[in-house]
Amino acid sequence: MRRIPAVLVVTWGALLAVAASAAPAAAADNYAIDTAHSSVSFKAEHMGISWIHGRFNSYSGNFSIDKADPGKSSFEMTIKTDSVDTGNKGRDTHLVSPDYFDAKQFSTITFKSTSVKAVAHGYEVKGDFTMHGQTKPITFTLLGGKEVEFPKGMKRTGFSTDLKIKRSDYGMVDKMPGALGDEVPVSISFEGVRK
Amino acid sequence: MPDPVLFAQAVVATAVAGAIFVLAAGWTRKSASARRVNVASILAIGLATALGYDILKLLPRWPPVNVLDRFVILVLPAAILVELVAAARPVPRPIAWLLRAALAAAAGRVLLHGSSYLDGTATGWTVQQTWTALAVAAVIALGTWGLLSWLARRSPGVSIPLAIAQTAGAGALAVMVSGYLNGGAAGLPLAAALSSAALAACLLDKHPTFEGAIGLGIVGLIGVIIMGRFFGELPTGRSLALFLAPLLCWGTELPMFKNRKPWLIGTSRLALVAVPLIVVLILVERDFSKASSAPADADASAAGPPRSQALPALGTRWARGSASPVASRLDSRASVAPGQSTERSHIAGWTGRWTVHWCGMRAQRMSRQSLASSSFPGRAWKRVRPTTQPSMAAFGSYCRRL
Repeated sequence: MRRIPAVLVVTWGALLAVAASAAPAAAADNYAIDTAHSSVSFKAEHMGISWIHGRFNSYSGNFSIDKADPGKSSFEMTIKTDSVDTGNKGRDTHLVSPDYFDAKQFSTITFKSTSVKAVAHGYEVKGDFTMHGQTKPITFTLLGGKEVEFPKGMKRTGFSTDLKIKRSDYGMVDKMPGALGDEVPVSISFEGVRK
Repeated sequence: MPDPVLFAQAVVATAVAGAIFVLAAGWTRKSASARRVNVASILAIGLATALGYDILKLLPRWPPVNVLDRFVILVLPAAILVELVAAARPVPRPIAWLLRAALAAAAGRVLLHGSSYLDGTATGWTVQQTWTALAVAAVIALGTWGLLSWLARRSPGVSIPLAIAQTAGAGALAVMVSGYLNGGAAGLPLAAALSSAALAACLLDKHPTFEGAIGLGIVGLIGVIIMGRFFGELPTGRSLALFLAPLLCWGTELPMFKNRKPWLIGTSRLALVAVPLIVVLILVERDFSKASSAPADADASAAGPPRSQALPALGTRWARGSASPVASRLDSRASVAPGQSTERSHIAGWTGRWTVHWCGMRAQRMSRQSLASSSFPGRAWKRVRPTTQPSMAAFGSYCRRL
């Protein structure tokens, strides 16, 4: 039996290694948030005696899920501040004014993930949350990730989370302390359609 | 939620402080000169207003992040500086007016800095419209400033700064009720400081010029109204009414007021200026009550921005009228209890009538155009067909002409 020259073995080995590294890894799935099946809602405490519920009607976002390497997953969302809706026109007008969201100055609230970690039933997401012109890191757990196909050929997945935002951290300070709760529970649920 | 007690405390403290500061800065053993009283008034208004802002917790952050911060940190101090320079002996009047013009021109731009109005992302506003609005505001501001200064020289009296102060106070309330509480609140200490400083100046000098007080009042008014118009929901018409109201002081220059006693002229000026202010306050209060009791319009929010925002240059009332087909449809769906006639249903009726009228006018115009351009009558009939009663009349007219 003829022996294969060592030089040839090394050359082929190197070529295979290069080819293996250049081969596409299992690509992440990219999704666009389906706003028809998503919601961004919040509630704010009024005078410590009741809760006012509200939502944002206009937002968009994208996310990518890499099941093989969750650390490569990412989430981003942009909410239009002037779309705040608490079911009362007078209050909504006040909320978009510079007393609160200052929608003309800061037209969006944004979140962009910086790291994603897989946890049971979802992901732990860390990222930069920008509101009222100030950016702070936040961490929350996204639960979900179940995949469905609806309609046929359109792959969907969805997540939800509950987090608390402290308004004063973002410079949204009341001149009359105690009128509105500083810590605002926010509930986000979104569905993404695979691009 | 506003705290009326806090506002009252701030106004009273500012007024007292304004008077004390003027008397402290302007008092001399002999009669104080007009220039000295003017400078004392400028300083007193600045210090007392700052005290009022401190009580109201409106003192700004650095760097300024919103319109109120920019107003308090940049625009008001600039006005104080300009008036102090203008009050200095060696500065000629044209230079002083050049500085005032520069301030009037720059104030709007500074207040809108970094906002969506200037990057073209504001709903219903292009950058060009914003610049046009700012230019118009600057011209009006400078015109008002010049005319009131002229009146103060021609027919001096404490009523002029008092009229500006009452306009600033009314503007403050209007802006507060129009959705921007803190922006409006900024006008209250200013109004209190202006009036108390002007009254105290009368104790120091028999004929004070009030130039500085007028300047600070006008700049304060620019700030409060721009905050209300661009960052609150104060409609353009009401903003203009507020801004031009002090010019009604000129009404006392009519022949019927000639040779009248000064107190009567002063009272008449305040009464004349009060008329549009009261009307504006009634209108904003009415809108506030309506907005507070009405739920947010789900259809409108789904369709886009509120109509009043969609057509900001036209004001809320005309925006309603312009969206008449939609508004009438929405209003016809609004539930009105039997026997109850709401303003909304009145608007619905008005918009409905307007729609019918418009359709009729359009049909008449179209039929005339068709007659002129087309020899085929069926085509013209098809074009006027979808309209209602007036369009039938138009069709009758069309047939007669055939």
